[in-house]
Amino acid sequence: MAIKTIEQFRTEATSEIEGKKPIYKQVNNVRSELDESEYAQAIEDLAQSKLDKQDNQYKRDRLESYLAWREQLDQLFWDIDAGKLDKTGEWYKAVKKVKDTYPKP
Amino acid sequence: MSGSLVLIDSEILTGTSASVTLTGISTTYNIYLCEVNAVPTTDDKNFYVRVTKGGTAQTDSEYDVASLGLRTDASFVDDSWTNSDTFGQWSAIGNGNEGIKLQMWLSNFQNAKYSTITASSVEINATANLFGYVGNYTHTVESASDGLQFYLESSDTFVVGSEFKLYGLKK
Repeated sequence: MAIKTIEQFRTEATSEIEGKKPIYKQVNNVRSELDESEYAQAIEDLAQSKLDKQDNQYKRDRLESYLAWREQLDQLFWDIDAGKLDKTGEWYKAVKKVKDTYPKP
Repeated sequence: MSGSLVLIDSEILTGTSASVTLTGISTTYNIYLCEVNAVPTTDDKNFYVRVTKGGTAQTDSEYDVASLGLRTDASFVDDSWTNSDTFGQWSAIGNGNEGIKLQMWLSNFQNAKYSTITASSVEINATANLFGYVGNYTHTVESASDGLQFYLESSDTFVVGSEFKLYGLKK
């Protein structure tokens, strides 16, 4: 997957926000359309969000997929007990599977 | 009556909105409570918060967060960072009968110190799993803040009926 720059994401975000217009806000119980500076901020927020997902989503996905540390310690105990504290152990295979499923970009 | 909560601002959406701003924080009260019960129009959208000063949402890189995500479907997650441009992100919340229920206690918004928040939330995410977030949130600028702005990832909108309320704790 090609790594995109923040400028490329800004171009994408601009197109997406343009496609969503009009976008509304609510303040003091009044609903009104975003002004020019707020549209610009929405574009920047979306571009930064896209950049963050590209650069960091794999970390979050991995965190959500790893077993809880207590379970990992239990896996390690049984791997050691079975003399499999190497690439054949259950702990290594489980961690490797997560890292392979969510590779660093 | 001393010691009671006083409703300052209540925004209950009658039309979808991409952002909602609660206003009215001043020196009248020492402590403020914010309650949110919101649902995104589109499934799986992150939820963000910024402070406002003079009614304008602050987009500087002065937001620090130390929080813990409590999950029923996976390990607990440390969500902590410094120098972000938002208090996001609460997890990707789902729509339908889901969304986020958030309580935030606001301290030092009304004076020239860091604006700090202690928050806890209950969320149902896009895959219908229960999350709970507890955390501390600080905007590291030594000036008064007068409100909070809430918004969603990708300028998605909050559905009609989403509620945002601000209370002051009467001295």
